[in-house]
Amino acid sequence: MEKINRANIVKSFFLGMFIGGVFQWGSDGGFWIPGTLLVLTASGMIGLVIGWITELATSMLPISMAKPRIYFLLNGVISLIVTGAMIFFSLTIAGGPEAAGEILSMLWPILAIVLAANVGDFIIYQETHRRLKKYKEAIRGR
Amino acid sequence: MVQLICSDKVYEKLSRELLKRQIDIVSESSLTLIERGFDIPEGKISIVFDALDYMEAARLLSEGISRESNPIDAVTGFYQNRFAVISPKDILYLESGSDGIHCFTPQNHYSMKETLQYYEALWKEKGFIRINKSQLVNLAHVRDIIPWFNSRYVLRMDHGAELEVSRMYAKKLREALKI
Repeated sequence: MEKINRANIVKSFFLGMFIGGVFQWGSDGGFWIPGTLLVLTASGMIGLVIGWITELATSMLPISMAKPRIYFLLNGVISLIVTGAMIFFSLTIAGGPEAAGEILSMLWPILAIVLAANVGDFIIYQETHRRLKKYKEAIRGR
Repeated sequence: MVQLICSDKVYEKLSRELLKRQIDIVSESSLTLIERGFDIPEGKISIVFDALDYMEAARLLSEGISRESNPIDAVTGFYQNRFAVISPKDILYLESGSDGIHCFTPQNHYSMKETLQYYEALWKEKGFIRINKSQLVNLAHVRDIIPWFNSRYVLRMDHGAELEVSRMYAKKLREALKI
């Protein structure tokens, strides 16, 4: 439990709110302040729960598993599970396959956000290696 | 090498002290020891001292020079009832346990004196960095930095060891690498 990063859970709340905002903006329900606030809070809470579950589950992974390939694979799998769960719940709440087309079209921005986050993570990973190499050269030079 | 700018009386005493400490007096040196009251030359590093403190000035200078030119490059470790001299560049990481500090090299692991904080301060410039409460790692031997969940990293060392960078120290690692 001490490995859980609470800051990440809070970030998940805001990411959830952001995704909720994207959903709300993409829907044709119009702008109604109480409704929008409700959607943002609800999506934030979903983000919070997902963030908490993810942090809890990943804190249990042993570091002997740690390999770049596994990290990025697990990240992708988590994203797919979360997106899949969102599709399932959205279809359940919206009630039926007729809403499926609309929901799936709204999921594209979410997939884009998740994909961008993973690509960003990979770029940071490569940059970290470049910096490590540079740092090692600097140490040798001292 | 140092240049002296001072009265004849102080010069005589101070030059004797400096020679004793094997510090040459050269007028072209970029480092000057100046007695208070004399003009400070431009474009040189100057240390101003009071005439009465000339001994202290000589001592500080010689200590500074010796520390700079002779950093503690080797330490002794204890392994199988004998002491071994270990160079920091051969150390993969240091670990503190209930029975003291252990130093891991590719071949062996040794018991060492002092504390992790001591070695952290001593070898900071050599690329040693704290990665969690009980481990100090030599970044020169890190082969791979693997991002891991919960804002942690895992370091894979040259000889296969895997060390965890805790969340608290991950920030320190990022700062060291300027990420």
